[in-house]
Amino acid sequence: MEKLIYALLTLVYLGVGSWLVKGQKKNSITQSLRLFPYLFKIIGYIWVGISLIMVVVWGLKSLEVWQIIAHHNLNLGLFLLCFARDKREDELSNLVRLRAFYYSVVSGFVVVILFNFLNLVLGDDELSYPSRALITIILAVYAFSYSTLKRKVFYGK
Amino acid sequence: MVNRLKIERAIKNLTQDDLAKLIGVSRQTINSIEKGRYVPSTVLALKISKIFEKSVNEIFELEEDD
Repeated sequence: MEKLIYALLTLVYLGVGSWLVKGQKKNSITQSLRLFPYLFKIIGYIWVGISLIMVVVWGLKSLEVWQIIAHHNLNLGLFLLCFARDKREDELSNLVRLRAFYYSVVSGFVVVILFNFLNLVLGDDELSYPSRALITIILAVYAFSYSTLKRKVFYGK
Repeated sequence: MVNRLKIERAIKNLTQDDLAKLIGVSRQTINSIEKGRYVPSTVLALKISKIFEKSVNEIFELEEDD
């Protein structure tokens, strides 16, 4: 079952990933980022909301496979949310996105190292940090940083 | 960096939204430039100067600590 989930996810992420990078000129760093239409941001919010309920409900009593599905569902929702355009996308929003990515990657790195360290200290044999949790951290920090930084630079709040 | 964007906009009787649409950015970006929270790229500065029919130096000016 887990193999099937990952096979499907591979297809989905390969599809959306290749769509996102399609048409990007290799020599143009100033080119605007290719993002999903604005509608996907709204879909992403709804998706994340439903997924969070699934994570809580299935996380409490279901089989591990359902917890994995709920978690990946949350990641898909966050992915749509993070890679969807704003109503008006311009050079400043691109700059804010870059800064948000910077924070999210650093946070992801720190969380993985910290988690492994705590596991060692607490005597847990399991060293690995689930990739799906890392993806959640990176996407969630990105979404949070993007909205915070945007508010700060656009409205000075 | 200081700029005369707000003054130039008032002279031309343009709102932030009008200017944003003319140069293809968001109204919030114009607001950020006016408040000095964001320094625009060369391309954007040239687009602004074209709208106001003035050189970039007349709209944007370096400060001593820049």
